[in-house]
Amino acid sequence: MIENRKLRATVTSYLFLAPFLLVFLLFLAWPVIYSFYLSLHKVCWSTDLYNVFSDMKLVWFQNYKQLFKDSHFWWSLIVTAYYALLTIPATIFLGLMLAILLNNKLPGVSLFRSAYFLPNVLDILVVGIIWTFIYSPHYGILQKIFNLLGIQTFAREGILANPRTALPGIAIAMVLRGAGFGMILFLASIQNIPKSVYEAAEIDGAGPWQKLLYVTIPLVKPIILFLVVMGTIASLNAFTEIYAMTQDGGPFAVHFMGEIQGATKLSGYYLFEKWSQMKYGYAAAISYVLLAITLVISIVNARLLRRKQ
Amino acid sequence: MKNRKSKIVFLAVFLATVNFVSCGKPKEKAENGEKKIVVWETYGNEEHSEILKIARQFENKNPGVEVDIQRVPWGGHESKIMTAMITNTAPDIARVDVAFLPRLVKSNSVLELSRFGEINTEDFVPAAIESNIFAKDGEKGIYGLPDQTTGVALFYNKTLFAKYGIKSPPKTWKEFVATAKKLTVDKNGDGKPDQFGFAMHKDLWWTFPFFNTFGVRFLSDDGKKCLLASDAGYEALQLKVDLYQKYKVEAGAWQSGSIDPDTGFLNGVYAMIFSGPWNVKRFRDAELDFGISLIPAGPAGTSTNVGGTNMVIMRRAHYPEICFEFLKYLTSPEIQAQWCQDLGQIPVNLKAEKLMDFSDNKEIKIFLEQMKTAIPRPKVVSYQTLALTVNPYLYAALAGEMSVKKALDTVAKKIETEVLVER
Repeated sequence: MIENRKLRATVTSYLFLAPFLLVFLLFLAWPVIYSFYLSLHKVCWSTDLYNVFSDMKLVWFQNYKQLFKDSHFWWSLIVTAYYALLTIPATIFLGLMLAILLNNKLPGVSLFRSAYFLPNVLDILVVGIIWTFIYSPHYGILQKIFNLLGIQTFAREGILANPRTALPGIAIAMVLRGAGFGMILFLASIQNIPKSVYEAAEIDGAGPWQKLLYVTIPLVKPIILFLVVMGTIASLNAFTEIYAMTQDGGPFAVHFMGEIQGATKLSGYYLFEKWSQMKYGYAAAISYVLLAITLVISIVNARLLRRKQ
Repeated sequence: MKNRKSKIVFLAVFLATVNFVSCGKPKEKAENGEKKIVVWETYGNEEHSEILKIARQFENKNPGVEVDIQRVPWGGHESKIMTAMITNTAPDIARVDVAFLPRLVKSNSVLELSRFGEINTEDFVPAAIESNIFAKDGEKGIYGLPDQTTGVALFYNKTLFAKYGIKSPPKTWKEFVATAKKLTVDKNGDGKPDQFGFAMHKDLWWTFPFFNTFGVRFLSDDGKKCLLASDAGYEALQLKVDLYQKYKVEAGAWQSGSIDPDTGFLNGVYAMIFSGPWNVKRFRDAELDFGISLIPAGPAGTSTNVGGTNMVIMRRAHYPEICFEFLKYLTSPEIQAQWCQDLGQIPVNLKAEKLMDFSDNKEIKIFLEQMKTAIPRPKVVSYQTLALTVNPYLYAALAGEMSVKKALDTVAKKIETEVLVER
């Protein structure tokens, strides 16, 4: 009798879970498994396009082998790491600073909260195009300001056509866009810190800096972890901003492993390029390597932050 | 009440899902028993209205046939067609970019057309029909018919030309450089020009006019060797580089983040650009006083690149004979004259020229003239791979990071090992 009731309860639970599980299996688990299968195959020139996935050639791990010899892939990883370093700490720092600032009772604080969050609502493509106009050589507002200051370094090629400044230029645009999101999360987290903790710190003689370093930051660490993980994933998948601001991953002025490389060709963009060339197997292999990298970074991040906590 | 509401929501979601799942599946026979062919086109608004008109005219001439015109976005049309092929929902006829056709032919996705009836290739703009002819198993076949052909010509700002006393557009590259120098002006006296004689794109397609006017052969006849690294090739690319680096008459519009040539031309800061028929209406609507002339002549005369689209019959088309008749009708002199007269475009059928009145569309006559000397793009299985291979080196040469010779020597080798053979 009891066993029957238990079984019924289990079946009922699974029935309730079924709609989600079905969607999960169909749209998440299956594509992940299938893309691994895809990464072991190759679309040939003569592959029947009416029957692409069953007419692909099984090449086993050839795509992975080729990938490790591919200078463009290695370069894309380096550039992605650089982009992550440029964007993640800056986004977190700016978000936290804005949150601390807007946690005070200042006049018009709600307006500022909305204003700083607003760019995050805009599509990356739109933000990218706006910044392209700002950075434009000859006619961009930034160059006009530089002209007034007598700075002529970017007068001819602008920010985005200079291999040294192209990626930092994109990063600035994306940091300013993304900081509002971090700010909202930090703000919610800071507002949840009990006042008594700060009062206790004050009794112990802590000043504003000590309270920030020893109370606020340790207590918002889960948000930092979340933003680091999300930032890493966003960097590995970054595509739209590159597409909007530097067309095809240029400027092409960097030499690496004997090949000419695009200064802003991030791994996400490189993956897109291969996919659009119908190299589905190769693109799937790239995505699997990126998945592995994301997992490793996420696990290391989580462990490091948990240990310190 | 709440229960009823949720039922309605469920029903709406269910119907939307059913609709989503079933959409795109072509039916062999129309509901009234007519033979139905499905055409996927990627035209703009005005062209879409025109093709609908033509489809109705064809139906009236062929009772019992229904032509179902379906519009798909140009951006991503290749992946949409490929997805449709995989899911067996591909149309009977598709309008495809000329660069996509080699892949479709290689993979047996489209039908050879001459088996359905005679096609007089001499009637068509040579470069346009040429992009449809492929040799398979030692035999040449026609795998599509061009529905639209484009190429670039030289657009110039008449107001700026008059202002600087230039009476006519340049006819040769030498004249072009001299004209561009006159039009590159530092207007505010800060030592840097704010008006440029010329603005250009860097990509391969936009570099073909340079290569073609210098008589550069891109591939050997057997398609196995890249001939780009030749004296003519070096000279052609050197000229393009010099316009920016040496003569400083080009705005650097090819660089990431710059004001693109069309926008700068529209705003009167670039005096000359290469552009095509697609921009004529846009510039006219902006009330820009502009003229169009042939691409400046090089050692091999004037020439241009070839863009445009072809109509193909998909391998699993239901009524390929009717599809063929429709394509013949679409590309006939009368229909081409009607199409180009209404839309101000270049007819793909040369016989249409006699039936057209060019008084309202004088520039079309220039484009038609230009297209007669146009050279089709090299036929490679993946034009995209070719462009992605070449473009970085064109950028490096233009940026002065690499000499023209080194750039073309490297690129020629890379094309032979990465583009012409399957990897």
